[in-house]
Amino acid sequence: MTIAQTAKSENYIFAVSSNGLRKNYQSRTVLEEVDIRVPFQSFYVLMGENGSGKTTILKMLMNLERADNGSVEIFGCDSKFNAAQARAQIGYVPHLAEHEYQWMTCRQFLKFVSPYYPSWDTDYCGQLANAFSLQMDTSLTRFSTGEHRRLQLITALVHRPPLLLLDEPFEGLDPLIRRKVLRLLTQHLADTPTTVLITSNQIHELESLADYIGILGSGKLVAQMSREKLHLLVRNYSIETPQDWSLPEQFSGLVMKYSSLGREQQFTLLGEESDVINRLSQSGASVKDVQPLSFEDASFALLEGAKQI
Amino acid sequence: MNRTQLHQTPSWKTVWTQQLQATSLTMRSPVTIALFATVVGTLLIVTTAWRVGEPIQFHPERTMFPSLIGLLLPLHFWRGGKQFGANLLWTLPINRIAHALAKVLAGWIWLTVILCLYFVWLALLTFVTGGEFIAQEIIYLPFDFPGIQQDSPSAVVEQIAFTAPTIFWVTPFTASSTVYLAATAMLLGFKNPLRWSAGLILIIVFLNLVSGAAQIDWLQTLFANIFAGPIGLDTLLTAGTEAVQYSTHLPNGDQVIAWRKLPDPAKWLQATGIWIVIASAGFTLALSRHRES
Repeated sequence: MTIAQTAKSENYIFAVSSNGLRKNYQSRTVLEEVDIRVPFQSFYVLMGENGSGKTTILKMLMNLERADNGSVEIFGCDSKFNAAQARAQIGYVPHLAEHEYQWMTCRQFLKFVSPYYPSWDTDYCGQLANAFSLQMDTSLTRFSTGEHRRLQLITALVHRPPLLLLDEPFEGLDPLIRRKVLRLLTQHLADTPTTVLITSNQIHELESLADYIGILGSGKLVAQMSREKLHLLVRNYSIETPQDWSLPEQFSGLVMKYSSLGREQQFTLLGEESDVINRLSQSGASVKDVQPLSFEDASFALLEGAKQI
Repeated sequence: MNRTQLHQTPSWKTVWTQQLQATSLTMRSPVTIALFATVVGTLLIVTTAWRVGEPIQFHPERTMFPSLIGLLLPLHFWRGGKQFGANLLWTLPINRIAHALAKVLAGWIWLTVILCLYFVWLALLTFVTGGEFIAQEIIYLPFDFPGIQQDSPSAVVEQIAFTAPTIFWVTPFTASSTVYLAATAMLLGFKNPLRWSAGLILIIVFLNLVSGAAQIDWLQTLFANIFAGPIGLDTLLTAGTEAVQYSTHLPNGDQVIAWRKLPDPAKWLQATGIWIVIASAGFTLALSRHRES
């Protein structure tokens, strides 16, 4: 079944979903049983330390990397067996791109790429090239990293794909351009119904856009939730504890952050607030204060928690 | 849920046109340089031929120039790209193997155009300098000719008119296409093609030296056959006209190029077939590394 046929049935609720993705590089396990779910028309931020497998996941979605096990679906269609159709739905900004068309000028490059996407919007291309101040008649070999990144963004956005895969899109951009990119991306999402899967640890810049977050730690997707759920589940607990108190075993893997000052201890814990308070009280600690965290703080707390796994 | 307009893949005609245009565009600089070199080279060759009185003969098969072009073109077309990773070519919405084939075919068309121009240029040189298109006088000194040693042909010297079979004119096309396929296979099949090529050359040189020093006959024979045997590389690249020629002194002291035997069209056909099959197999293997599923 092709993507178009699948789309007609409109049975899919996830733009991207993977099942049990596994990838080993020789003896090193890069991804282990990753089940990523990117809801339709959501903005999903995938976070993780360097080398945690973020880029590998995006490459697998593009079918650039083969999974040792598991499958990937783009709009309900296997990206391995209908790879070309799947890629037609995707605007991809790779982390590193080295290709044999660097000898082209920016104009030649865009002219070369445009026919590959029947929905290429030439006017929009001109607008973005102007907005990003790209030198159209300069050879790509003379482009800086930031200029290359801007060109990649243009190529990804201009055909208005239903899915954007952005791998560290702000890397190599100076702060001014970064803000401009963010503004244009926001505008693009307002104009074009798009699902976005972005890998970035610059969560403060994406705070206003993000709907979902996924945290990769040591090749595993340790957390995946909506913004609302994150707000509800990750909270800061200030507790007073008796002497020789230690956190009960049942919190193992749920502690995102910990600090102490005398007998008062602060934990960032993952779980339903009422449940966490109950369990802490049963262990002899008394909960003094519970504070919700900002999206950024909660995300980083999850990220720190992932490191401990 | 809003309905998202799902996008179509490009037509094959579009992909083909884009690849043909891109390869044509990338040929601009080399063609400019080649044109300049051709003008200078033509002037030098023609004036030298007139001054010395030795016209240019029309033997397109007796040079490795086409094979060199067959080697250099893939390097030019694929330069700067990493074929294993997020290379632009593999991220575009088209089946990767078909896309690679389109690019390789577009490059091969350029190779053919260059060879046709080379033919015309060689024919013009032959015509202007008064050379022969068909027959040529050669000194024929076979190894086993009675009474003649390879290094001292003191007895009979047979000068014959040798007419190269016109099928040999196909050699530049078949040779360069085979080299083009093999070089493309290396570039597409390996993450570090230059390292692999250098390694392969080093191994061959090393084994050749070892086989010579240690008198390993079977290995020496194997190398001799691969490079200069009846169905070896020389037969593929020059229709076997290179390996049969050697430099020697005539009784009057003149140093001449003699032929120890005449090239065999049947062997050339065999060699060409075998090497094309080998190169195609390598190319298919290399392509299979980029398959989608």
